[in-house]
Amino acid sequence: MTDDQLKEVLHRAFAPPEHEGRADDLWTRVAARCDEPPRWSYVDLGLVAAVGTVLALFPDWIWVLAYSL
Amino acid sequence: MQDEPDAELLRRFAHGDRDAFETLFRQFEREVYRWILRIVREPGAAEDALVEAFWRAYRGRARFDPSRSFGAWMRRIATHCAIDQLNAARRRNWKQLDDTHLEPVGQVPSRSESGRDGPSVLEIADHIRRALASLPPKLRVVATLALIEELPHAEIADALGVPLGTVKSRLFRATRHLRAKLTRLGTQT
Repeated sequence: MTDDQLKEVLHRAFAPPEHEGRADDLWTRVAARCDEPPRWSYVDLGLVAAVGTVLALFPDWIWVLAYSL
Repeated sequence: MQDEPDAELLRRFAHGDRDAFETLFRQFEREVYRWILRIVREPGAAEDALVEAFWRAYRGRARFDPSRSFGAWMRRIATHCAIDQLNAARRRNWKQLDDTHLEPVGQVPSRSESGRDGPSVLEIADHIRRALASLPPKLRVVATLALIEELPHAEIADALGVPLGTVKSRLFRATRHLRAKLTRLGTQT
């Protein structure tokens, strides 16, 4: 299958998306989202847990943390 | 691309002015929605990604440089939100996209078996859509924008925030993957 054939196959399978017809005003959703308090992601929670664990095991490292902050 | 907003509006936005943000939202909402829709190709998912994109823009407003293009900055954020939507959809539908659930076209009840002459156009189109959906989202975005939307590679690179060479290599991998999958499924043009 050549590149042109692949393009043709894809064009046949995918109609252009319908752009019009969205009636909802999404500003209210955006504004509500901006007013939400910040959410903690799993990465944030993992990082806090890792730092906490390290400090529990090696309390002296608090100075390393303090220095890097 | 949309006309750039005036510098004062952008400066106010960067300082957290909500009215300025709403003005920018009203000005760019349509363009951003269209862009996301070209990638995710599903209106509900495009709306969710649009809300997420403007929220991320507002959260990251302090990092926006008012001397640069707001439209280009917004498009880059929107592209990443669209990729996140594709990732979420892929996680939800991973079972359906698994190869084991795809029958080769030759094994799809053919027209001859059902009184017809072979797989219908709809059946083939469904296999092609599944083949594209099975691509990792980073490859899928490039394949969609380059092969279906036929955008220049440089524009895709700008929207993704990656070098041109990365776009070319992702397109190469996506094309190879699609070709292999469609050949395996027995889809012919």
